[in-house]
Amino acid sequence: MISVNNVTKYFGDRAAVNDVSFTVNKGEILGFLGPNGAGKTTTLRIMTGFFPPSQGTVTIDGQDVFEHPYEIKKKIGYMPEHPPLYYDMSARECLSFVAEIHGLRGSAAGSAIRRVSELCGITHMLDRLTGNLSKGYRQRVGLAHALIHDPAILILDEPTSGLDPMQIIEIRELIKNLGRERTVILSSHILFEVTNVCKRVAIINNGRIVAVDTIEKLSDKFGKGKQIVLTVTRPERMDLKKLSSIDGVIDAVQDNGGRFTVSISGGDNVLERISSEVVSMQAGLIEMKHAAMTLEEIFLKTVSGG
Amino acid sequence: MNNLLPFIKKELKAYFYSPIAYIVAGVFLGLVGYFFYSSMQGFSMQAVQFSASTSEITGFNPTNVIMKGLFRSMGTVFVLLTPLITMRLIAEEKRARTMELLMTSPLSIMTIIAGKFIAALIIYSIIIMSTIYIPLTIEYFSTVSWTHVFTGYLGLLLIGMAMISVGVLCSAVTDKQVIAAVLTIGILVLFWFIGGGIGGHTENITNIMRELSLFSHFENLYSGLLDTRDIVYLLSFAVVALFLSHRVLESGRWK
Ligand SMILES: Nc1ncnc2c1ncn2[C@@H]1O[C@H](COP(=O)(O)OP(=O)(O)OP(=O)(O)O)[C@@H](O)[C@H]1O
Ligand SMILES: [Mg+2]
Repeated sequence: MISVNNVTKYFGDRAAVNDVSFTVNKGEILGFLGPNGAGKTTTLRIMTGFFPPSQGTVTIDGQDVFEHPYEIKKKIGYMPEHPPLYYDMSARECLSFVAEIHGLRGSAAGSAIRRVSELCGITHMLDRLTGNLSKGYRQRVGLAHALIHDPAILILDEPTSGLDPMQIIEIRELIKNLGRERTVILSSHILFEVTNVCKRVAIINNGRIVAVDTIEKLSDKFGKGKQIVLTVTRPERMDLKKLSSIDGVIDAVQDNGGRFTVSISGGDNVLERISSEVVSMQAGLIEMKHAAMTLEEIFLKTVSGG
Repeated sequence: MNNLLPFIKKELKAYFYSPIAYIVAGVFLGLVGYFFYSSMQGFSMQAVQFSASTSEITGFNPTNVIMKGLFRSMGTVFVLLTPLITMRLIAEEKRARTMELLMTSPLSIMTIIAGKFIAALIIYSIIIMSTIYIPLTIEYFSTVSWTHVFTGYLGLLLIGMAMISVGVLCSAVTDKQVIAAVLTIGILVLFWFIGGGIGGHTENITNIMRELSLFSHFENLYSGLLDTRDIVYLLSFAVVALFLSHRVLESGRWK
């Protein structure tokens, strides 16, 4: 288990990350979301031991990252935002260097390189200079670097940035598979990306954590019990004034055609009153449901402080 | 520290893949070859003159006349060439962001610095040692004092260590190779000419400056005099510069 405890990082006198705390459970894939400049990279760099926090601690399986740098760095596979490659070396040479500094020698290094290049789909690119690879393939070689020592923890900083849609799907599948037996932290500002891959997300904005929860719970928290979506076949018969005057209804608006959104405060009895009212209007009620917020909406809400 | 060897290997590879080491070697060997040629000519002309005189001339032998001057020139030429060998060492890792890979791998800062220092020293030694044809040629035509030659090369190795460690330090403070090179040249030129070309107000200060000078500690060695004080000074100089490089990289993480 990874726990980030009240971590603050100053650059000069500006705090890039401010009192950040969250935990990552063993074996889960955690999405780490935030807009540009929110402090994602800074947080991940602290977790990987690239630099120490100004305040706070990061522990992995109970060990402090800065007290046991070697043990921790062996457990973590880290893929930075910009894949760190030696452009005048081939992908194979880069990988074999990374394998060797992780203590893999000879045939162990060879088979590790074979394993990760198959996994990342770079087998046919191994003998090209990394400087000549396309962005997508550089990204893959970067991922292969992170995987070479078969780490229990993977920390990936925007692994799909700059890839084309096909590659994004491939890499996302790859990460999903990797996450079956590993703990994965995946940062992104593309929300769509993590919805499919992660169960739980941490959202950071302006250096502060604004939400950590499962995607369902988050949409519950921000959506359920607050907004109801009604679909009717005869929208012209809907009387919004009448709907709004129902006890427990805050507001009712027409979204488009037969779709209406009703904001409510209260429980099932309010829903019952709404449904009987709509039925009595003879508007042809065909659907009535809670508006589950998409991750995008949660994100906008949390980020804008709503 | 058990990662040192693969790290040195990678550093050497970087040298062999980039043209800079070949250019440095080419320029150095060209210059030294020319110096050798002209000092051979000078020597043979003097030899003809001296053969007419009857009195014994002390110190007039090929080792003293040719090798001593060549050793001094080799050292001086490397004041300007070392920065070209060392400038990319750390600055380039920072620029290419591969430093992020190194610092999140199970490598210590000490290994990184030691590996870079040793790799540059290996390249430097290869270039320096390819001048071994000079004493061999002299030996072929005449005789050479091999102890003097050995001391001279030892001197070159020691000032090489001192100069490369300054290069490592300067490369650690920036992510721009050119800045690293200019800083290194500045420091090396200062420590080369201090106490000699660059004097102090008083005799005492000049003496202290001479003690600090890299050149004056090299002087004995290239003249064939082995003095432990020179060896200790040059080694400590390198250790201090490498220690400072370690501090620079370590404190950079805290900013
Ligand atoms: N080395 C540094 N020196 C000074 N400021 C920095 C440094 N690194 C990051 N910052 C600042 O800290 C803040 C957080 O940056 P960070 O890179 O962590 O954001 P991010 O969430 O990764 O953004 P992005 O999505 O653009 O990658 C930014 O305002 C950035 O300018
Ligand atoms: Mg980032």
